[in-house]
Amino acid sequence: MLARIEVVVRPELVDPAARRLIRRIELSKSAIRSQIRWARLVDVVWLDLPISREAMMSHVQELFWDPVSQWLFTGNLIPSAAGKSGGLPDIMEASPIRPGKFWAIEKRFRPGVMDSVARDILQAFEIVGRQSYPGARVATGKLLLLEGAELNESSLGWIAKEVFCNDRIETWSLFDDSELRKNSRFDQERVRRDIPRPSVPTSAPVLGRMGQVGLKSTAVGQALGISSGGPLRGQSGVNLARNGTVELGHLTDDALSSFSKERNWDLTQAELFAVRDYFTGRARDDAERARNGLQAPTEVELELVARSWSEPVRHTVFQAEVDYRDDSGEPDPAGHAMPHRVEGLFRSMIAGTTEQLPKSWLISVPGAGLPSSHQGGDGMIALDDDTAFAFGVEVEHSLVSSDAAGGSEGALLDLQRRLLTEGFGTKLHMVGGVMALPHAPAHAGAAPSAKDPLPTSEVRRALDGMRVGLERATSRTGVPFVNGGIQWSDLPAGASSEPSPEKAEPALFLFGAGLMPKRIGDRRCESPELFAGDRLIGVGRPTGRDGLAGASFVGAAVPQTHLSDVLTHKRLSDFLLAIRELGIHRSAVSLGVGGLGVAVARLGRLTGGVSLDLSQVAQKGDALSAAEVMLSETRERVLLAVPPERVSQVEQVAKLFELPTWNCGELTHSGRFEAQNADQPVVSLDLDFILEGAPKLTLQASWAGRPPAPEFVDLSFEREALPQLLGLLGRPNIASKEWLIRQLDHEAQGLSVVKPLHTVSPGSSTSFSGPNDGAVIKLPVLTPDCIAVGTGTQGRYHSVDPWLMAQLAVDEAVRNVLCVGGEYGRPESVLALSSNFAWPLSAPKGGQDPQSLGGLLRACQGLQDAALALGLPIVAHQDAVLHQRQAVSRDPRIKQDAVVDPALVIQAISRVQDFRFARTADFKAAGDSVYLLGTAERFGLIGSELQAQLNGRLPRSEKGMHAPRPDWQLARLLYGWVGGDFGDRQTRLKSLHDISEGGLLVSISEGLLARGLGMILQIPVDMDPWGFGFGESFHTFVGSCADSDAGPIEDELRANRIPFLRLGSLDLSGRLDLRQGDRKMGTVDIPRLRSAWVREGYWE
Amino acid sequence: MPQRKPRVLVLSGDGIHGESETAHAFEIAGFDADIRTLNELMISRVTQEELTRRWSAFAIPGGATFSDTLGSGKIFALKFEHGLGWDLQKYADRGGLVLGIGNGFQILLRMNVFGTDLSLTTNEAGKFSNQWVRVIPNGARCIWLKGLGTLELPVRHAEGRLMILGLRRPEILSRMERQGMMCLTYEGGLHGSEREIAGICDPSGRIFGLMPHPEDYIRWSSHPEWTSATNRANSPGQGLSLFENAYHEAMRVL
Repeated sequence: MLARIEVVVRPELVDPAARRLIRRIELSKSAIRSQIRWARLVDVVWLDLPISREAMMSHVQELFWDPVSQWLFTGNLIPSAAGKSGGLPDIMEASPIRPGKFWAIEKRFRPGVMDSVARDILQAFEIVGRQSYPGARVATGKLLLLEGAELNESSLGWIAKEVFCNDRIETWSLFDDSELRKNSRFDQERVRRDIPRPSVPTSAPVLGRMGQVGLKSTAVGQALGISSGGPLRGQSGVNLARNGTVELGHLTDDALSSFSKERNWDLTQAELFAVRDYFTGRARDDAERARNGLQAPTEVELELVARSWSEPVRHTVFQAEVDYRDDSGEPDPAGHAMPHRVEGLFRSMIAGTTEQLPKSWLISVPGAGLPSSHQGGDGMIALDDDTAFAFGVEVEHSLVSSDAAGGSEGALLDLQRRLLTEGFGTKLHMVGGVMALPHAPAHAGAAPSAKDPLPTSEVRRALDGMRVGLERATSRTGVPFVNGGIQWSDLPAGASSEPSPEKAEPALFLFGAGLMPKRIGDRRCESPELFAGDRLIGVGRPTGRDGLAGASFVGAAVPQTHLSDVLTHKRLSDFLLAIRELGIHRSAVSLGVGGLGVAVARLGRLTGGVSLDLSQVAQKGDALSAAEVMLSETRERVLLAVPPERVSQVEQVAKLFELPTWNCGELTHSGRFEAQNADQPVVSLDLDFILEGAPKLTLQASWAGRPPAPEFVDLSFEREALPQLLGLLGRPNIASKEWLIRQLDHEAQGLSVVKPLHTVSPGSSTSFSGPNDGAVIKLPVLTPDCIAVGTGTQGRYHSVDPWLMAQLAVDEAVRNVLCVGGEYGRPESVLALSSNFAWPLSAPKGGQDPQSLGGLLRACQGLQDAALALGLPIVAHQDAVLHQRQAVSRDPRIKQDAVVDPALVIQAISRVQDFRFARTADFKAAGDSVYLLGTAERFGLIGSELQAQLNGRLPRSEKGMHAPRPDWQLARLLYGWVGGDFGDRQTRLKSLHDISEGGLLVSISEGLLARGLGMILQIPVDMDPWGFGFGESFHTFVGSCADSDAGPIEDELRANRIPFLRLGSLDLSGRLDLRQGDRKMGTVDIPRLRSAWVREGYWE
Repeated sequence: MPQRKPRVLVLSGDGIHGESETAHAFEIAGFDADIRTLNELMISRVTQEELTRRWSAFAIPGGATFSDTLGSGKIFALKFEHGLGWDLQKYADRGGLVLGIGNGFQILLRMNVFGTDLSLTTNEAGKFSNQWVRVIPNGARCIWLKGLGTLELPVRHAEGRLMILGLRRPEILSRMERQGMMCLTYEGGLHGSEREIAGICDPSGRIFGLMPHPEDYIRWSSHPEWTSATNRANSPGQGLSLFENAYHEAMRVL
């Protein structure tokens, strides 16, 4: 029985989804919004189920219809509750505008895009029908019904393209009024035509490319299977032989390169030669290989090696040798020269940093004790004798730029699964992250105005999509999004106002963390004990074609997206924690970038060999070839290593969570990666060739020095300081993110101690929220222990000096985590860092871009210098080095180079010994004393947010004409006091807030916002007020304490030679008054600060 | 002699994710908690009899069951009804207590535990929202809210707007009022919910569903303003009192 179902909100009720869509149209193009008088968003479902008409009628009513709020249309299947026609004409008749002029845009997924809602609906039919429907087809779509006499095809096309649809994953069609009044959409034959075919794409990127070398899709399976499709010919003249192999030895260098290009391999020429040398040398004399009947490389082998050596899997750039040259002719502003040669940025500056900082509480860190090709990854910290804390980071770019919602959701779920498969398995308690977005609007005033353009629809779309993706991933998994931010790249400080010709793209920097037992029986969480003979059991979503467009397919010009299946993810998560309790598996690995092949090679490293049978891998009916099964990056799958006698138990538990399993191989100690497809051997390689066989790159890096000093502008502090402050409070990097924070679940699990916002009088009409510095969550046990996390990111300083950017980012993250109660200074104080890079290179992998690499090296050195100075190990690392490519523009006419902005996001993670030590940033009470902790001598205006606001210029000032400078000796002293290493007064601090973007005045304003207190701020007479008020800095805080504690605190700080400055006292005036000596320098009331910071209606 | 503790059955699986903190809140209040997936209960064919015999209280925590497809709670409610067939009304009549929080409330509502022609639909603004609200207990019917004044609690949902079928609205409202079902309302309303309703109990007062999350406010230190009163840092949160009420009732019946 075929059916089409339409569900629509009753005409007399508000339709929130339609309303929100209309609002998005309004924000992007108000002229088109004004053409719309009425709208409804209709859910559409196509069904093809082996059930009777009667069963269909009753099930459809039971499942789809909520009569309280909806009308249901099914053509003539079920008499409509609404009216005569059983279709949209009923609601058109009931609309407030009659007779109206109606249009509709209907969208549906492109073939092959996973539709998890349809899967859930089918499951619902199976529940009410009490049986399964193997051949059934279900698909979902949406129909946007609009009324407006002025609407036309061009405005509707704009709505479809810019707001309603994402044409990477959806197609849409337009219905006019007369078409809508016919009910032919419900006809059986029409429904049969309309249901998207299950997952049979006309061309997926990989197959498309294979087509070019002559591998027609029908032949792919055959070429590698038993029968043969005959010789296949491509443009390069490279043919696969009848058995699916390629004789690389016969190829010229050029032919080899063009073959690689056609196959979309991310390999340099040196890497290609290494592959050829292996197959014409070592492999030719390989007896094992001969025994398997293999000689020339198979397609599966070549693809496996190519993916394993691709940048996203192997992180080639962070492993390369880098030669650095300083072209500036000046002494290095870092105070020491950069190294001339670095043997791998990761090895020497990330892992190398942590190696110099042994800590009793480190359980495992990225890179430690593993061969050099193991890159990045997650770390584990011992919180006490029983509990390990796992922390991981991830950066996602291409999937986010092609589909912001799906890409963000997928990236966050991927990170969760990676942590869920760490050690015994991590129970996740928090995630967070930074959204990096291009081109914030420039605006100088406090209020939005005509010359203050709203963000482009492209940026809006990216941000809205990321929000939707993160909202889904957090609210549906119950892992709270506790800390994060948005980093806008505006014009680099010091640059002219010419817009950059490059089109910057969004990127997402995520972290996640959770807990696991340190020991189970005699096993330890960090050392999986794997044995040859352990079975490889796949669990989760069957492998499909949707995974053939993932992150490691970097060569593909247009990355596609794959949508997530959050229900399967959640079930996997429940499953993994259940088998952790039972202790029936040895190790798990999440199938992510690089797919099955890469994951299996990583597991195989631990026993020294692996053997796979690709024909056993569960497929979702796409008839994938062996190579495709090996490569597919289908999500929501994990691979377990299970002792043979436990396999059936694992399978039983999986069944309890309705998860398919497949037993597809075993670990060996043969030193080999062997794979067969049923009886046909398809891979027989030395495992170490896959893991370690790639030649090392040597890259050139250079640096031209810091940019020249900025231009000056004459500004009177008395007149201009407060307007500049109000402008800064509204700048996107500083302004309130409450609109976003409230739309993400940041309190799930009930563990929060410090939230992203502090709120005064919550739930009341006078409630107001201000920012906190970091997040604190309580451990879910009956102890007072907590975990804190803070973020540092200082992209603006990249244009000054990437070394400085990294130093500032580390310092900001550390200060943030100390503000909320982190510990520092004693050997047992748990405080650690993570690093997360996205870096553009103008040349593809292996090519040279000395300037950008010089910046990357300086950033790594800055990170290392700061981490060593503070003694903080790096416990998690991720990097994405991306070369420019044609923009993933939705408008094919726009050809631009798309890049990410160079960015480094640092997280600091700390233990908080007792939740009672946690602090928030708000000033608490009138009479409290306010202090600057640290010294104003180090405030700098170069690179500051104020400079960005003044389009690269700076107010003429005697001091502050420098960039911020670190003093790590001072930092250790100050942080040691704040972090509880010595002294007993730091717990008397009632508030603590760091001074970063915007400087001291912004920091003080943020503390005043929520409670609406006031203060008279004394600017020291010997200070330049611009530098003092707006300079940015290392190692400084604004703190407050009760007046009675002020004296003892000052004594303690003095005794320990910690610089501080009393700034004033809080009062009930509701005003911020600036004074320098007797001179009045300006006054502003708190409501004005609030409205500048909140910028209502700016984002939603 | 150690006193016998009442037990609570906390449901999990299929996208529920609040089971740990819900069980924890019951435990702090004095219960022993058992967390079970719906599939486990179905496979081991736990009957209504067993439910009544073994568990004084039954809770459906928050989450996003079946990814909220077809409306939040819908598919889970069907699976529960078709898979277990428990009659929660009868369970309550025989002394059981039932709590549905967030998605759990949506599930109870879709099982028509509070009568027909009610729905929890998309918030008026069409947005997911995580914020703290003030809620006011009304009347004396609901056992869970016995003796409580205004509470501050977090809400985190996209579908929390209570609606009543227009045609039968007066009749349903007067019945609910008469039976003391509208037991919890938002101060100042929220998301367009009918009569500012935040939670409903059945006429017996033993089955209670609410959108706010009491299990996430069992310590004062999870309140958004707790750092302004650190002298109370060790105090319990207001949400705990609901679970304590259940404990006293369960002990009375036990």
